[in-house]
Amino acid sequence: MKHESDKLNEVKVLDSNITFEQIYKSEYFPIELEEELKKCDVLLIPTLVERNEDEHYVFPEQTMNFYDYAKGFLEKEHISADICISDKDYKEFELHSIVETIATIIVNNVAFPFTINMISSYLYEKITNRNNINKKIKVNFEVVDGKKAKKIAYEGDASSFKETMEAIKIFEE
Amino acid sequence: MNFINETMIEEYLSDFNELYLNKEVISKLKSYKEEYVNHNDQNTAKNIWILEQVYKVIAHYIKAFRYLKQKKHYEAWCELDRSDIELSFLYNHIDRTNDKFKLEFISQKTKDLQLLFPYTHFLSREAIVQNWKCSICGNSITLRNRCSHQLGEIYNGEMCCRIAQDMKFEAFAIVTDPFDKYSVLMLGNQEYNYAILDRLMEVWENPFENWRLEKNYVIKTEYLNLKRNDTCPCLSMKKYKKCCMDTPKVYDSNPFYKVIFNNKQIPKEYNENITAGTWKNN
Repeated sequence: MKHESDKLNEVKVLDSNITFEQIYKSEYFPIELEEELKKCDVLLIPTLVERNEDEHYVFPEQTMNFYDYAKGFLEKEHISADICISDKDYKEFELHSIVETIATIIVNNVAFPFTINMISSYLYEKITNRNNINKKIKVNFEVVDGKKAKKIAYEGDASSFKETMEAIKIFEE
Repeated sequence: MNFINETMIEEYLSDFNELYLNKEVISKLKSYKEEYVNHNDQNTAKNIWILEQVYKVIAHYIKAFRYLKQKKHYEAWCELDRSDIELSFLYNHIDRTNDKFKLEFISQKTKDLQLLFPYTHFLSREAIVQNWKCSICGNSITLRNRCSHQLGEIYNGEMCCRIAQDMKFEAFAIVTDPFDKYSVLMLGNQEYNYAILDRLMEVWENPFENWRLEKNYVIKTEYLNLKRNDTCPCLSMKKYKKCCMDTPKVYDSNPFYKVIFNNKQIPKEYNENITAGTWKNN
């Protein structure tokens, strides 16, 4: 997570080996919610940060609001989404940053376009609420298609997010 | 002025263009709001909350103007930031098309003024936050267990916020574009140069008098008079047309600003260009 960004709408597509199965085995995965979370095509996952010799699994500030928005939006598209942490372990890492970091999302390839629409709609509300057309964002995806996986990292203007993401091809044959 | 109801206050705020607000407005609004909340008239209580917010936005803005006149620059900076924050709470609840209370004007002037301040570096804090409660009902909020109150909505004439219960400070970062704008870095042995703002304040007579800011960029010397097929000066060894041409890289990162007053004769001595660095005596 970063405080600032001077990136001009940069998107990176990299090979990845992260799978849903690995997430289910991670130390932050809440066993008590296993049944619900394993049905999801979209999961918000925490980031490990190290500060002052302590390690914490954290989500960016305002993730709770984003979680509500994501769940509500994607449910209307019949896509199940959730957050991969228990209530008691949920922590937000506040940078009070001008760059809005969105929680890392692991998503099935079929649900990816809906997830892009959801984030775009969320950002549109943010931009208009604060009258901030220059808002910068940072978001990472782990997109899974069967046995293949790609990591997609976007950093740049919130207003260009949708257009930039729609232009990329993830799993080219 | 004797306010007899909230409609009078609404008209007062919508026509307001002075340097000081009537302080009676806030106490009157509070008592009207209590009455409507007692009658469970949520819509009218919300409308009064809107008027309270409008009052706060204007109050912080004109206070910033007065501080600038007194050359209390940092104080003015903080007031502008506060005005902007109070305004952000309002945006979901008002019709912004007619700008009845000149809020769009205030928002634009705040942004313009912020650009004229010399501040370049700020502190940004890092903290880990856990456990929140609702400002309306006081109940604990967790990911999957909430009260019925929606963040940012108005209940009983108050905005619903989340109150962080457990916050651990971790670090500070030095940044150039902060969320918390009040955290300006002050250096003990250096004094900020406010020459541009001071020049503006000699001409700007009323906080509701309009002016606009024209932002221009200068092309860097190495990019002047280049042809499309010339080698790009950025050492990429590519042709200019395939490299920096038509990108922001060709411009100096420091813009220069021109303040333009419409329909106002500016004395000649105020029309000269000022080149002002961040610090005095640099």
